[in-house]
Amino acid sequence: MKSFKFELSFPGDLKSVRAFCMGVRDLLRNVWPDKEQLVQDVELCLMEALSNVIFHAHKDRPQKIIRFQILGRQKDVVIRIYDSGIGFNLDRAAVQLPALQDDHGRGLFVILHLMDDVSYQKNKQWNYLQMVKKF
Amino acid sequence: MNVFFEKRENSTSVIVNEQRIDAQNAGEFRKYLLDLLASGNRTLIVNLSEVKFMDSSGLGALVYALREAKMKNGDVKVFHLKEQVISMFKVTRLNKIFEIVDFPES
Repeated sequence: MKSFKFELSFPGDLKSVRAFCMGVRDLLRNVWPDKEQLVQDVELCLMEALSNVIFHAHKDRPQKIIRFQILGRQKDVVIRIYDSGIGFNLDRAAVQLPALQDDHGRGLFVILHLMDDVSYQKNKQWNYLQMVKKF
Repeated sequence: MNVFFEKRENSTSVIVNEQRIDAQNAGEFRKYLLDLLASGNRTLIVNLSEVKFMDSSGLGALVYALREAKMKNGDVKVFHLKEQVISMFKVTRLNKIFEIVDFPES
């Protein structure tokens, strides 16, 4: 399979994000029809990451734009999500499941559980979350 | 959101006719469950047979409702979970606090 790269910018609102995640899922199903688990994991982590951008980085300001990049390669898929919020420090060791009775705080844990490599970089203009899923 | 309920003898069945419960509709789903609990339905059995995708926001709505139900000596059970939804319960270990009424054939 040849590598592919896809980039898009879209409004940071939940309706756009849901439609976008479903679009990426359908794209990946076409590229990797025999890798349904990978497709599901990517869709879920994408939804979790983009929700975090809306609620935490952009703090419910839908006029802020989210930039997205996906790179499909021979042995992995790389996803980058750019936000223009204040950013955060990703400390893997500090990301734990919340108490079972808590109704929030599981998104980042799910991402770290399902992805093979996750990193976050803070920059002046854009921060980005990079997620890598190996085949 | 396409969801409705049916009264049973000792519980209330909640039928979710949505393929996704995610950050976009989780708030509405949570309100629906809380309204049912507030109007005297103590035990909810949520049929998720149509739900193919659930994220942590969807789980959060169920956890919130479970917490409310337990405070009133009630319960929230989940029913007919698809593979992706079961996986979310297991990854987040919420299968330890929810009664999952059955698993699909595998």
